[in-house]
Amino acid sequence: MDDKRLAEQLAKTGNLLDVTYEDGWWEVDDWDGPIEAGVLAKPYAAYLESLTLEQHRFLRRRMRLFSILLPELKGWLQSWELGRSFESVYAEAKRRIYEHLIQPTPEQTDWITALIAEDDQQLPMEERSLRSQVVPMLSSLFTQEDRQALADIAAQGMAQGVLQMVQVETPPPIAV
Amino acid sequence: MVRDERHLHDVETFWQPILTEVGQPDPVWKCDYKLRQSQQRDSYEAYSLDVDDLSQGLLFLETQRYRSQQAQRFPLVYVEMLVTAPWNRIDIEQPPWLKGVGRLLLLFSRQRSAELGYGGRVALHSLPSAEGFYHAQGMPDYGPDPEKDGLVYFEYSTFPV
Repeated sequence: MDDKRLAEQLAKTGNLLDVTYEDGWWEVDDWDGPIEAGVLAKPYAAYLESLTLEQHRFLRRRMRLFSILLPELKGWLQSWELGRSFESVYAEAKRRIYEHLIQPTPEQTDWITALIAEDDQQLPMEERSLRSQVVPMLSSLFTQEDRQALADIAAQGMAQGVLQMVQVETPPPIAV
Repeated sequence: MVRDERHLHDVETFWQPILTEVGQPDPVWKCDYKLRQSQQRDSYEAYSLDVDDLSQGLLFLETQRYRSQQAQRFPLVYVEMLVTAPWNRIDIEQPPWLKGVGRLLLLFSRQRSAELGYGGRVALHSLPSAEGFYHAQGMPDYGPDPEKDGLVYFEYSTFPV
């Protein structure tokens, strides 16, 4: 890192991360190795080294799949207008979708493969026909139990909000 | 960069299950522990670099307890842990899904140092395989630290005035 450049950026905008918007900032990073730091990272790094190539391929495929599914899931849930319950419902929905796809059916496996392949083509979003099927697919994965669980979490969030709002401190007496 | 309970969910929902799924349980429980700790103590901060709503790297900072190992013992931000997701490591994936995760997390730690009034001072102990990365980032190397399993100690000083 160029500390002189960073000092200038800090003085200019107060945010060092703004340097990442500059042309070439990302190209400078030519380090090809691990970056882990901290004693706590040791078991993690050792663990990764113990995995086989096939296991790493599996991890990457899961990541690719969820990098497509999660933004779609999030957008879909945002349309539900959950307000303060959104984060907790979204977290639970992610967990349940993940569980449903741990062992996909052969049909789902084919669809996932095609979906990732389509994403790899980096077509304009409106030309990605499989992408437009993601929300219906997610919807079909949710069981009645899932829907009830999400509804319960949403209701709890709303209830907590109302209860907090009505606990207003007693105002000071008005002088007359 | 996100700092809230979502990191915990991300690790619990995504990283941990998929790592467990490939055959070995409990690889990141210590991360989990740190995340929980970060929710209980103000001096710990946990951050996740999210892309497409997925954690691509994690950064845990301690902001009050550590001091510079230089003579004047200035306060600094200490990097308790910095990791990138396996698919972003070029030794595992060629090409990696994302490049620059470590550099961005390190830059963010310096931003936090500046915000806390520490002038950009940041310290960490690098894993042996990553020492070249911190050298490449111009981070001064102060040699192995026997108190941290012999890991090499690196420390950024303040930004030049």
